[in-house]
Amino acid sequence: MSATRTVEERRLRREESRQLEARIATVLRAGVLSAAVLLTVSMPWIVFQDRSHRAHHLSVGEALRRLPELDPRALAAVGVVILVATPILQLLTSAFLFWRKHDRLYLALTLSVCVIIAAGALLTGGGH
Amino acid sequence: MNFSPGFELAILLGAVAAGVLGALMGLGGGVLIIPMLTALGVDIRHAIAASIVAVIATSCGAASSYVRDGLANIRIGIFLCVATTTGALFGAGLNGVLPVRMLFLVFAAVLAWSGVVMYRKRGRSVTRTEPAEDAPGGRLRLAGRFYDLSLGRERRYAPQRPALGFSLMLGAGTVSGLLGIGSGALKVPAMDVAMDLPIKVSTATSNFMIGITGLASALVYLQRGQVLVSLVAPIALGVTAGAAVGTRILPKAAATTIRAWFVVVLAVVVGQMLYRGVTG
Repeated sequence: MSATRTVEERRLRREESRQLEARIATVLRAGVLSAAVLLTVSMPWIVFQDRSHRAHHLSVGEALRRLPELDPRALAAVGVVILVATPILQLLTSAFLFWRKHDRLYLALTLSVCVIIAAGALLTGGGH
Repeated sequence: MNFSPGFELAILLGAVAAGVLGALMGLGGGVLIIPMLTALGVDIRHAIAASIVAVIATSCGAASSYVRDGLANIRIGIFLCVATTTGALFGAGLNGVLPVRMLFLVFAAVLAWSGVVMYRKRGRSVTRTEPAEDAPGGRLRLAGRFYDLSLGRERRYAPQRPALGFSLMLGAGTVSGLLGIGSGALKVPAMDVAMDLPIKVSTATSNFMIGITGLASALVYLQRGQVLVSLVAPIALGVTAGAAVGTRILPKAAATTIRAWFVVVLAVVVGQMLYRGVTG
């Protein structure tokens, strides 16, 4: 009876793991696809329009400020920002799913990673 | 930067190759992208910033398939990310304190040793004793399973020596933060050699991790305005397409082939490290 219960528990745990994997994969896929669409749409403008030195040295931050004008480089910049934000969503989704599964160990580990990355970005970026 | 008409096309094609290689080998692709961009006349600071975004694109593109297919082990990835991110933070703090040229040489020696061990392990992954069906996988619950298309059956694995793997990842993160290099070349051997994971799981889990490790650097480069839209857009697009191709190859490829290719890539990285160690 106990052995049957253990096998059943393990099967359920595996099923939960598969659901966790499927949700994280969905978040990653959504991030990559939306970024890819924006980059693909803006690529012809980047390649064939405004080939000035100024346009080529436009940073993501500067391009984002042109978003209200619907500048194609601003759309590409949004794609880049979505791409960079995807691992953040990957971590937050993992933390949320570990929390829902009452997996305290991996919730703590995931949140630790978030804190370390935030500290790293603040400490290293703060000096410049 | 010299913008010839074929500039974007050249970097797009180079990025596709980097994406395929990155998804297959668990690397960020910096090993290809940075030399390619600098050869095209791109400033090294912009090349490194673009390479970091490429790492994230490769990681997200590849990991979305590997996580769904059960090739990437999320628990191993999160557990080891604690070590790599801590190490990277520590390494960034040590910047300027330790002699960088010496570190490049030590790093080259460590990678060369990893390459030799990985080469000697070729073929072993297929004959390795698999854990029992109901193996608990230890307190960290790191054991996993995946369907190996090249073998046509499910494979189970239980990582060995997680503490050693964690320590090596701490070292990998420190070296990465200190030298400003991607650590995929260190992550895969640490998982393969120290934790005795199947090579496909090592490369897939490395892909899951490299985007998270690269995140802190990417945020810094974005803040500094070093990520140029016209440079990073074709790279991100090319790498994403390349990663999609790489993720279709890895599940079907034989473990011995992946291992052999990884050893070749390690040899290239060792050459780059030796060059930087000798010339400064």
